[in-house]
Amino acid sequence: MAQITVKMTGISRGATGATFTWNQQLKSLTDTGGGNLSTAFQSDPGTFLYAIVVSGNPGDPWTASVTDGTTTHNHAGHMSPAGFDTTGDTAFTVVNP
Amino acid sequence: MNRSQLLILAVVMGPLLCFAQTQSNAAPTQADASGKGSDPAQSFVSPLGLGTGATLAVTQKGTNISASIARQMFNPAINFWQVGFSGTANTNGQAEVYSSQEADSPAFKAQVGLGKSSFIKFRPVYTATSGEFRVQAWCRDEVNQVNNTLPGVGQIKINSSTSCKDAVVVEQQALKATPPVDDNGKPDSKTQAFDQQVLASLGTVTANSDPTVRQNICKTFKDNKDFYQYCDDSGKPQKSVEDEHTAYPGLDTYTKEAPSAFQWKIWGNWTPVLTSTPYRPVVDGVANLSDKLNWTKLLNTGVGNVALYYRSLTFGVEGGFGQTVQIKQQNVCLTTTSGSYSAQQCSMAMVGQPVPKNSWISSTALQISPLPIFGKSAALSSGAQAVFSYTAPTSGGHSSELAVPFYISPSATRMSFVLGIQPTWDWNTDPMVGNKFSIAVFAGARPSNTKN
Repeated sequence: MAQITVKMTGISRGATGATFTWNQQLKSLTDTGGGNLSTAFQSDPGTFLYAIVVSGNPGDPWTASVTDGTTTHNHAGHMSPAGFDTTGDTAFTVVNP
Repeated sequence: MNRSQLLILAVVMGPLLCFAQTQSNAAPTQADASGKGSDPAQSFVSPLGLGTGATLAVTQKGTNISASIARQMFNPAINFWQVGFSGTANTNGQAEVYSSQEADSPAFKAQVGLGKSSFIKFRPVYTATSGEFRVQAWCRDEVNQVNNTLPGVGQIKINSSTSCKDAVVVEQQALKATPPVDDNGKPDSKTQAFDQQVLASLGTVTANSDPTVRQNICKTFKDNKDFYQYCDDSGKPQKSVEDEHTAYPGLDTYTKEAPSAFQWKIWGNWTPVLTSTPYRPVVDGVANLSDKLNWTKLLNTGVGNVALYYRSLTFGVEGGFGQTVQIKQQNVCLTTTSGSYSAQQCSMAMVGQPVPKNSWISSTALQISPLPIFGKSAALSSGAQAVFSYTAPTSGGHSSELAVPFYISPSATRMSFVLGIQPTWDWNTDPMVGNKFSIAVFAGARPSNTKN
């Protein structure tokens, strides 16, 4: 098992401003203040799909990182005129720590 | 505690808390100073909800410290909760506190809320199809990187809406026509071979290729940082779907079931308020000023909130019913006389025991953020809000307030710092506290309350 840690910044809508899906399941995000959200959970080794969907003020910048301690994915973007953005489904291979 | 002592307290407490928002001389209103979905001032009466973190506010009426946290949960009826606490002390008792709902009335408050947001939703079609688009956009990034290895005269321009498959074919022709050369102008066979390998790999990308195809191709790029930088596990920041839309207009014919621009949030709060004040009893209409008593009471309020979001507009409305109390303190002095000399020892107290009243409370907020003042790439962003709040005791009278804060904040970290100005109009009846107009300047910082 490896610990997956997800952190997001620039989410002005707080706890209701983003979702994180891992292997077709929503993971509960905690609003840590300052527009930052995070979550951490255990995962078996293997390749999984994840997706981040964010909302906020149009044009707002945001960032996210997903890591298992060995591999790190970094994402950056800007909210659309409708106030949304996403990473889309993204593949992540978890290795045994 | 006088005003200077309170300011010292603010200076000391801020670094200790590691996160704080100072609001100098702010009126007791609910300036949503930066966030779109929650109230950065962490007002307990904001129709936009509490923001997570902590706030230290020093106002003309007193010092207020608030902290709250919010989290998602997954239940058919409820998908988020929040808990907040707020402690307040007024400065010297001179302030007239109309309502315990006020942000800086002297009290210890808590708030427990549950609600549902339309945004917190599993969107498998949206994320899957936008993932397919990102594979296409990534492919175009890699094709462009191949193009960059060609001599200037051989580089081609591919239409932004051209699919990966078609772009690969066009680039293969360009590579064949004008192969890469080294610094001496001689054929660079190593680069040419890698370019051919990249294009051959990208040629396997189809319209329905999922992210694992990208991941597998990226494994073959690890030894070439120019190409590997576009891979998720390179550690380099990867462009989001929206940024790829900007880079490749017209390419996204893939994304389906994108979230609507219209979203909503509905939640309810229970707000207990523990308030306390010294008072002198009044017996048969006569005040017994020598009898020092203290009045403490837990006041309960329940409110419902709805927030609506559409693009850069946010509208929130709150309504509820609960207990409020009016605390009017005044100087009560013990005068000691000795011959022709006298000395006074004074303390603040209310004359007569406070009497809680049931009240209807409501507030509405309309916010636009960002305002079209600064450009899209400007370092600063701005917003404005109109907040109207109304408290009506069942015994009659009302307290009304209209605040119109305007603020600016850094575009990159909007929630972390705000600077603004807020004109406020107040008017009241029974008790007549007085109509007034004030302008407050506020500055606030609220970093995350965890280390990232």
